[in-house]
Amino acid sequence: MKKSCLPLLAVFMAFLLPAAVFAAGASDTAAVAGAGNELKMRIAVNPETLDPTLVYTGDVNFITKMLFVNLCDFNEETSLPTPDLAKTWNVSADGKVWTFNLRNDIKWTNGRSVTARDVEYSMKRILDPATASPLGYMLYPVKNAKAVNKGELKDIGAVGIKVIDDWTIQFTLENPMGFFPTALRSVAFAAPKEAIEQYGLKWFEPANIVSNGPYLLKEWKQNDRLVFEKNPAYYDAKNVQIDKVTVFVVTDDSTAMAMYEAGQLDTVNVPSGDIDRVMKDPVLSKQSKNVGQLISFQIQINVKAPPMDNPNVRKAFAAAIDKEALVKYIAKGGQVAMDTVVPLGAFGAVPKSAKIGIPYNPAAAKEYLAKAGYPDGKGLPPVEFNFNTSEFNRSVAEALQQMWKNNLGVDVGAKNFEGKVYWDIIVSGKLQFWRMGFNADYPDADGFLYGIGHTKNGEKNLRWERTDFDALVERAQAEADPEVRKKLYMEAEKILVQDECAVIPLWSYAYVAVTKPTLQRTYSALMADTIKNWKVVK
Amino acid sequence: MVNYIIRRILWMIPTLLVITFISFVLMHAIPGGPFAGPELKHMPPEVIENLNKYYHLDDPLWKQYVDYLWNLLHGDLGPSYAERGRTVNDIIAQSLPTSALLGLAALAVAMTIGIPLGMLAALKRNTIFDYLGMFVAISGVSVPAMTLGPLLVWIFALNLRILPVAQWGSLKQAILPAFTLGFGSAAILARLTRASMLQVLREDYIRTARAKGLSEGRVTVHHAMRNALIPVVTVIGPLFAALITGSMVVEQIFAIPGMGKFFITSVLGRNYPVIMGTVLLYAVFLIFANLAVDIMYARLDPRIRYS
Repeated sequence: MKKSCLPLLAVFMAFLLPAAVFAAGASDTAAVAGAGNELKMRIAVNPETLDPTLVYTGDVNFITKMLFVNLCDFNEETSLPTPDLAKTWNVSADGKVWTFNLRNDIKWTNGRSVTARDVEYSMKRILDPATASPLGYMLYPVKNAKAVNKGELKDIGAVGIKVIDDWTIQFTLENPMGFFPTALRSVAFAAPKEAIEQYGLKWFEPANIVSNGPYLLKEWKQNDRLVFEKNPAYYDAKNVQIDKVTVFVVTDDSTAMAMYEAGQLDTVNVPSGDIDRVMKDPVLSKQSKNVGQLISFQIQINVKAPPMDNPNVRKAFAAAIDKEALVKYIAKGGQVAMDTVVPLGAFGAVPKSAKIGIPYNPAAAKEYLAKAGYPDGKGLPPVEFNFNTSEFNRSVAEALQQMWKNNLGVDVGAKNFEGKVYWDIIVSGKLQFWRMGFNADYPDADGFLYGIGHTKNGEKNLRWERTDFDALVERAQAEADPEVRKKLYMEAEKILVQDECAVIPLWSYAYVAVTKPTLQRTYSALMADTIKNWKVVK
Repeated sequence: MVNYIIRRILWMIPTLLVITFISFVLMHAIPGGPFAGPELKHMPPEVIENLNKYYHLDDPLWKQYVDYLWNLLHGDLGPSYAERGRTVNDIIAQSLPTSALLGLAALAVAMTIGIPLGMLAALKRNTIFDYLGMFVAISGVSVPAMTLGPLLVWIFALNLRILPVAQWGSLKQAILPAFTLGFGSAAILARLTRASMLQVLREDYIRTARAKGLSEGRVTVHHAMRNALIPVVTVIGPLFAALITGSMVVEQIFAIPGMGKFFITSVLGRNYPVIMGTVLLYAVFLIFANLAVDIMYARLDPRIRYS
């Protein structure tokens, strides 16, 4: 019996296993050797769209920049606007009317020139409530834009966007704004009217797309890859060195890292769990670079929730946090510990030398708590720290609990909420204090300080009433002189993180990237890499 | 038999209706909405209002449900809130074939390893084959895909460098994911086959067959194996439905553009039409797989008849 059964099993296996493998196999398309310079990189999400009037996810920004010119580009080091579609721009004496003069040598892939009318069309498309663009609010500084976007004003022509001629566009603002070109960062890509009208929301499929940037979209296999080729008709094509770019959609960080190590990707961000290993590896460590990002990791406080309604309690909790230790032992990605909100690299960031904020000082922390009436934490009502669910946030929360226990003698609870309900709970005002990653839409202190702290037009979650802070950030928004603006933001930061201590900044984000020696790349603090400037070296 | 099948298929309609209703109520009962703050960017209320209007989320819930059913009747599963311009129909059309291929390959791996291993263990009970087979089976059940996948990648892609790390499209790229996905199921099948085979070998009709003087081979193949496979077939039905609708973990590890991730991301993102679409898809597969299993019963066991 035993003998007769075995051959049967062998036959069974011999047939089924190869059949299984063949069933799974299609043609081998993975290893396509393109002519010229080729770049293989990764995106962590399948782009939600390639329509520049609708793209909202930061990860997709670099692709938008490959396909479309923007009114202004941005210097990757200073984050200041540089010419792209616009050659020059100027502002009226009252700071309310901005005029942009455009290049006349940029063409759509269908041969038509890119004109001021294209910019006007894109912006009005963003503002039209029927488009439901997530970007709508970014144009609210423009006159009547908010009323149109909310549907209160039906006449879209009343928006302060005016085409003077094909190469000149003018914006009239609600209030003076000294950094208007920076604020337009995500909303000034030109979108092609004819393609949108012809194909609707399928206009950005490879077969239909009309674009004008340094690269052409050749293939988009959903959730798998996007393939781009250099656009020979791009106005600056002679300076674009890489001929073909394949962007693989790889959601898992560790998989992307393994693909890099196997030579399937040319550059990748290192997952936090691999940073120690990469830094110890003689080869990988040489390929690594620490890149700062314009995102602030901070603790926000509801100044109306007892016992956080007492400024000395808030200051005690702030002074008890050893931010350097958090960055070194918990965050580990090369983050920069900060006592102020605006991340280094954004306009208006306060230099460390200014000594603004509440630094780590356990003795001072104890004093603050005693001054608040809770010596050694005695009599302090229960306190609970909150975060949105993630392993990383939990480890930060646990480290904070330990620091508050050691330095203040206080047992602090820690509670997590699922991402989609977290925001609603913060807005409800039920929490005492919570973690927040704050990412501004543009690299200017305005995006951070106005957004977090303005008592009427900001997020309002701090529930404070410092109208002098409002006055400062309003003045800074209107001011055109960069030096004056910097000073105003420094004063505003002092109120927010020191006098009032309604926010406890912890660090500004950073990541570690590894890059093969055959690729020369730049790094963007704005999470929008400029691929056209990258070069393959052999 | 034909009447029976038709009746079963007609029963699908009320079943699916109940499933849509329960899913709809449950997903709207979870707090948070599709456009409630992603971690770093919180859309202002004006923008969320426009989006809600765009997707008719400002309609009363009963109307949203009725509209959904009406569109469903016309084969329209609705838009995906996470990707502008893509519908649930697009998502299924683009990603289900990939998941189905991977799932079939995994099922083949599972059956090829699991059933022979179980048979061998049962026939050679209490020998080294049995112990070894059951050791493999227990490891298969206890080592999850998220451990096995990276381990295989580490061995075959990063060290031996004979297979690619990830991606989908070639034969080589299919091997590791198919094995990772199939191994756990192989273990389940092996244990089940062993148990079922042992039970059948003790049946009276096996003794009768032997008493008639049939060879051990004939007894095993014709009399024991066929009956031992009945419980195995029962499991293969739902296993089939689960494997071909994709696996989030395996797709993520191997960067495969399949269906599995939508089951999870749609719920996390409150992407209502995708939640409904994936639930319905799974339900349809499960119903058909169970029907196929019931039909197989009748073929395997002459005592089972449907009318």
